[in-house]
Amino acid sequence: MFNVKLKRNEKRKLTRSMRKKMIVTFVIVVFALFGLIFRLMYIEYTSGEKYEKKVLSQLGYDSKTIAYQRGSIIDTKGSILATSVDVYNVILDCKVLSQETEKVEPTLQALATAFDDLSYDELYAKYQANITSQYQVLLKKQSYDSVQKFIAMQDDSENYPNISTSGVWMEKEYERQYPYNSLASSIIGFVSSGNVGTTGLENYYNSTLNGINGREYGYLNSDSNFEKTIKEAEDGETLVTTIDINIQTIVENKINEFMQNYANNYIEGDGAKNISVVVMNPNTGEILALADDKEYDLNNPRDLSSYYSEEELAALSDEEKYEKLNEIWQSYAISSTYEPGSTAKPFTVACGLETGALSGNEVYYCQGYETVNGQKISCVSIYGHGSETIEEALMDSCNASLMQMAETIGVANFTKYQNVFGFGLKTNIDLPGEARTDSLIYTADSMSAVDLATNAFGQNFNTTMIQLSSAFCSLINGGNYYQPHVVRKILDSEGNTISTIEPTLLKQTISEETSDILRQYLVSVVSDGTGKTAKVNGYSMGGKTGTAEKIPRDKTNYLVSFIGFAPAENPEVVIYAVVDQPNVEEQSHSTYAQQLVKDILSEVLPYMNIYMDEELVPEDSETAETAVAEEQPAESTPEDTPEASAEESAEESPAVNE
Amino acid sequence: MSEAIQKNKKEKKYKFFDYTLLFIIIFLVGFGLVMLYSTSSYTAAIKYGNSAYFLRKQMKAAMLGFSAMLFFSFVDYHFWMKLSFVAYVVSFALCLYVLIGGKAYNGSTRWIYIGGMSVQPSEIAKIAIIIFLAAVINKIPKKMDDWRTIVKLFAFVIPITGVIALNNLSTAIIILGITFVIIFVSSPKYLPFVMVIAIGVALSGGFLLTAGYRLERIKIWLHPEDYSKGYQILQGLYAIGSGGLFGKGLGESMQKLGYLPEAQNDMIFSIICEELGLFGAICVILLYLLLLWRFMVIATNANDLYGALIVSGILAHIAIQVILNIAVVTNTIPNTGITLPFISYGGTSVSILLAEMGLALNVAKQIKLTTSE
Repeated sequence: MFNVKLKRNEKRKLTRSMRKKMIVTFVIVVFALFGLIFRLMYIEYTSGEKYEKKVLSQLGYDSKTIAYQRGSIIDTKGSILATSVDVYNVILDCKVLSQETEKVEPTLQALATAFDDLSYDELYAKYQANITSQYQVLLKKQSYDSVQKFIAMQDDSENYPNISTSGVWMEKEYERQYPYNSLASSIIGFVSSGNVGTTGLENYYNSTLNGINGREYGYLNSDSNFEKTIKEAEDGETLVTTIDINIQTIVENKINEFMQNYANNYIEGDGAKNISVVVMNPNTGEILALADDKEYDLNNPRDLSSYYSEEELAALSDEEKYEKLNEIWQSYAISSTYEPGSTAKPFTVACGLETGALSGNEVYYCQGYETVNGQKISCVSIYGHGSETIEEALMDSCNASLMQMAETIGVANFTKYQNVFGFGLKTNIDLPGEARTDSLIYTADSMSAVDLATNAFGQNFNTTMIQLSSAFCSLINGGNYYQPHVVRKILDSEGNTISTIEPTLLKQTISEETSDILRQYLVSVVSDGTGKTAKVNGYSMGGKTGTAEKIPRDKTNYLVSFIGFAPAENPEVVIYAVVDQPNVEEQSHSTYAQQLVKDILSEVLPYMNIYMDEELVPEDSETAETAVAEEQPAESTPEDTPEASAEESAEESPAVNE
Repeated sequence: MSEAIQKNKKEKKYKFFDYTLLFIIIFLVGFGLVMLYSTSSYTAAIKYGNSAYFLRKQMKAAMLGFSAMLFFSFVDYHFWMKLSFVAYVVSFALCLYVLIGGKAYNGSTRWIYIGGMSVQPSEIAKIAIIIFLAAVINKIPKKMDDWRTIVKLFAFVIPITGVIALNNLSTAIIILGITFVIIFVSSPKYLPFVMVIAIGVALSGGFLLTAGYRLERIKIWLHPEDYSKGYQILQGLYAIGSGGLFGKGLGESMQKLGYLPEAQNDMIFSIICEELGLFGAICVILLYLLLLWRFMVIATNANDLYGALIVSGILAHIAIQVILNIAVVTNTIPNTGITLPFISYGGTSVSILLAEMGLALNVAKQIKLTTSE
């Protein structure tokens, strides 16, 4: 296209010298560009850090960050558990002040009058030393009221005509406050450096709670004039939790009472190694209360003075301190794993009934032990329980019957149902630090006959409290496994609902029929079985005890527990209490956990407006019987010689039957 | 008949298209648009309520530029030889007109309206001068060893540069630079050019040291932190220095948030340094180097002197702007408003540059490939 015909003399060739000159030109350009690359490197090398700091420091005055307000955390009834309160930093702009010489003295005098912590001489020295600075922090985190005096003086141009209005200004910040101090500390968690959620809900919902900083900034417009624009901050969102502070308070008080009552009881030390309680609504998966004995002041999360004396603190290394802090910061119910013991028995029974391996009409015979693969594994009663129906096996917490059931169920179905109930899986509750238990349970391939037998009564595999209580809810509510959760609603900064977290039905673990049978069995456990101590007078209840032998299996250390529900027919509340190594001579009695549950429920049930549905029984008549049916710990150590375990059981049984 | 067929066959054999060059151009323009959006979105949102305000205008110009590039790459560049004088006169007239009827922005009158678009005539003058000088020298290649011819050629360019210099000194300098390179390439001599440079440096040095206004510029250059007019250059340096080796990441510049005024124009390279770091900046420089290398290859292999000179002019144009822009941004030379080709905001500049690329592509297309069979 457009081919142009040229006259012969218009078409000239390039000469060799021209080509040479083009290359010369290019080489010069290359040198120039490489020179500039070196110039860039030079700037970076000599001034990079300095300029980086300049850029950051410019943010301080040319433009101000307008802090957002982090969202609050409130309980289910609206009480504030965590909130951000505005505080003010007093900033002196020496450079601006120095341009109004006549105002320097009156302004600094006014500051000294308005704030007790400031003196004129110190202020003047600071001003002189930093005369070019635009950002000198005089005071930090003053309350709204305490800065009002100075602001009033600044505004009062009649009485104080010479106070600079632009030389001193208040920088607004927010400080996190927890009105209930240590209440529900393991759930709420705390923040570091203002807005970084470190533990608990503060951590899990950090980005929801945080907003977006606004900015007031200046820029040069096209006429090189300085203009200011404001971009408002967006405040964070508020969490409405499922926690009820009244229930939480009752739970924490009862735990503390226990810890005090048993402190220095048998050996010198705490009332128990760990105590933790979970209270749930079985029909929604909502956590109503969750507490352990290691609650801490959220307003002062790094304070260890309640655990150590001053001398002890001074002797601790930073690492040891940090370890202890982590221990008190984390929630036992979420982050710790343990062998559950007999509270796992209802799951074994449910598995048997649901798979059809058990018909419900079986009768087992307990001779005091069971021999599996040549290993003698003993029951709680060395004399044997005799013949036991399934219901009686649960009521007596008979290990031998459960082992026989497990044998019928078989490894495949047993492991399948462990998975159905969520053992070995995370519940994905909306709290950080949930423990992984996938490597702490057996698979169909790795489970031996002995493992199956011991797993049947809750030894030899690990769970977390939240795992077991969520699964337990499904056992008694008709088989519905709800996602356990702590937050039920998210509000915007104006209080409008942004999202509601409805109960999430994750799966059907067992049929409604199986659930009905289980509930009936568990009610018998409390009314006539090992769980009598937990019974709150006047209320129908169900539940299961647990006494797990801890490693090493030397029959000294036990983790005792009780999981229960009320009322019997339509359960409205599930409670699970774990007492790890109570400070007593004989740890192997689930009564310690049962008593705790009873104490809590006798206050929580009336508070929840759950009506008494049974006749009140006169108190004294039952106390004598209580301990009689008390279970003995599971004997699960394959290493133990049969003789040894028989001997030990023989020694202990009288104590049990006291 | 048979002759015609043979001719056709011959022409097919000559077909060559510099895809490398085309790719570099498309990449540079695309990269430029990304950086322009990153740099300008914040100020655009504040000033115009639309974060894509500058981007959209620049994209329109780039579209126009690409069509111009397509057009110029298809039209035989010898066609413009006949129009070279007309182009020179018209651009001269436009530059005169802008002095009287131009639109002011940032204190200088540089724009006129043509068909609803604002156009900067001095940008048009650059391409006009390149074509004009190439056409003139193509007529008198033998006389280029005579210093009087060289002086005469400069005399041709002086009037238009003078007019442009009245309100846009930097463009005038660029046009003089382009002229210098074209004449340097076409003349077999070295000495006169070395002398011109020596005299130029001496004169401008003397001028800068005596004239008050220029003197201030020198002072700002040496100590930008002491003068309020050094604010922009200082903020640019902060941006470069704070970028580090790999930068703060695309879109993460702090300096563009109102601290570095007009960041999307002359200072965009400092934002590249801040966001992409030393590494990114060096990559950009190497990309320009690759582009210039393509021009050198095309120029040395061009079919004829006219084509070679056009491409030399384009090489000079881009090289001078890149070098001066980065030199200003790094405070290596006193501040003067020069944009970074393809990347800085400026509609006319991008369109004209892309039209020039079309010219270069057309010169490349006509290179005769000889196979050594």
